[in-house]
Amino acid sequence: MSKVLWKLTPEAFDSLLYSLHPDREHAGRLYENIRRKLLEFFEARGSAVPDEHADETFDRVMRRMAEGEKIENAASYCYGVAKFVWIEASRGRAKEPVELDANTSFQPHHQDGGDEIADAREAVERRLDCLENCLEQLADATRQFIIEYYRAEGGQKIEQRKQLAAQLNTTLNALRLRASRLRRELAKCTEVCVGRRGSGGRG
Amino acid sequence: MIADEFNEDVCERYILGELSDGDQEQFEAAYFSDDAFFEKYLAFKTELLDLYSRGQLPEEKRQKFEKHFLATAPRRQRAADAKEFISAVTAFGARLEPAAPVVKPTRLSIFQYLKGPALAWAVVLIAVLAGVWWLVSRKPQEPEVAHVQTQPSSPISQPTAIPERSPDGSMPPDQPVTVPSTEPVHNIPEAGRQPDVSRNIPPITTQTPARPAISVPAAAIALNLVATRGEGGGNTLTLYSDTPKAIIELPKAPIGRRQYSAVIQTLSGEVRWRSDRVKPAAGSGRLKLSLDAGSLKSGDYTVTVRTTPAANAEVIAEYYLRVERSTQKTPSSPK
Repeated sequence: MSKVLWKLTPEAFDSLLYSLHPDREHAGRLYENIRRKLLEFFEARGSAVPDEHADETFDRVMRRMAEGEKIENAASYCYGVAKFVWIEASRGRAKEPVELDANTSFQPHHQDGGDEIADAREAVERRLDCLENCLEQLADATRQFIIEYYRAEGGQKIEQRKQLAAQLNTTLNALRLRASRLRRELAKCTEVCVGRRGSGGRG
Repeated sequence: MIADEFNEDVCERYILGELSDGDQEQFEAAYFSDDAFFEKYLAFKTELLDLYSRGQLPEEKRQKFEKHFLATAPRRQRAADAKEFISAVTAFGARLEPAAPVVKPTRLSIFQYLKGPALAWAVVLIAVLAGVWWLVSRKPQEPEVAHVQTQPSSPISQPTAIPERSPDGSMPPDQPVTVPSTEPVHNIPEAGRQPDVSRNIPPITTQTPARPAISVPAAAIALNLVATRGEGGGNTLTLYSDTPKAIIELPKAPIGRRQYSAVIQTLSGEVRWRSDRVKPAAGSGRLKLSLDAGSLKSGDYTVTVRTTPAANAEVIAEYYLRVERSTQKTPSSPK
């Protein structure tokens, strides 16, 4: 009972990366950037499974490249393909019964609720633990910046951020951009840490 | 034009789903082609999420946000992540804050202090203190002090003495509630006697002896594609009575997928385990399924990997798995 269907080949993926940049590492970063944009696009359009739609978009782009199509601007091309993917997905979704939550994980019926709650709590603890480790790995000044940026509540927050911006000789907008980038780095670091600590294949 | 320059109002309307179709496409085209535009969009969106998480959005905006932005599970997850992040960073920062500095009084050199009128006041004060000391030292010793010292120490666990109520429920007047002494039981010397060191109770330590670690290894198997039912040997997983977990490793996943759906079911179709978020391992790209060993009884199973959770989704790979349960405990590995 063996049935296998591989959709992509390593060569197709290599071609896509090479079209982004000859240097593979740089190409990988560009790939991740486009993927991030695709996720934002599909989420904004209301997709319940943006990861899958982003994968589907890349699949189609790679297939067209493998068929000989020349792509000048990969990001804009991916956006064009993504719009078609979304149109098809929307049509398909309109015909399906409404799901309450498309991303729930199924647990075996004989597991009691206590196990699920304990697992969920453990996962949260692991994530918070990893986030703290990642914060500790930051340079002192960077860590202090993140703490100060998110510290204040309510009306004090704006004042405190203005003071922080003045201290760092920058603008509020630049501060916001810096905080946003750092937060994404922390999220990546946390994800790697959680994966290393053996979340296994249960997702 | 929407895409000429980043505008926060336009960005907010995009996030809340209020742009027309044409404007929406212009905005999206802008962030796909301009990385700086995209960064500003992400930063603004994160800020909006943070405001919502802190409950600081104006009411009308909050309602729009909940109606549109939180309509899908991925975005609800982003809101939850934002809340978790802020709480974690705030708590982390609070733990790092140094204790309030102790304000030490400015020390004055005695020579500085004794200059001028302060010298006269210091002399007067010393004289007054000396007089008080002389008076106190002339008082006879209170007999209660010696009496207290000969009393046996009261045990810490003695309950508080509470006066009894009268039958009509009223409390007797002027009955102070006595509280037992909180002095340690040991080392209260009787008058004139040395403390009995043999009765010294060692301090209670907060450390509890470490329990010896008892770890039973998980049962693991790497599945092959070619093994089928009846071939024997390959793809057989043995689970012992004390095996806590089963780890099933599948060959390298297709490139480009960030996650898959995997299901383990009996040959009659009964699902024993399922996950819609199986991610390839970094590096090897292999898929690893980790499940409670108790969910698999002896028998034959199929392990199916799909692109999405939907039942009619494309099947990436399918494997056969035989599980044999043993009533014995996991044999120890030879030294």
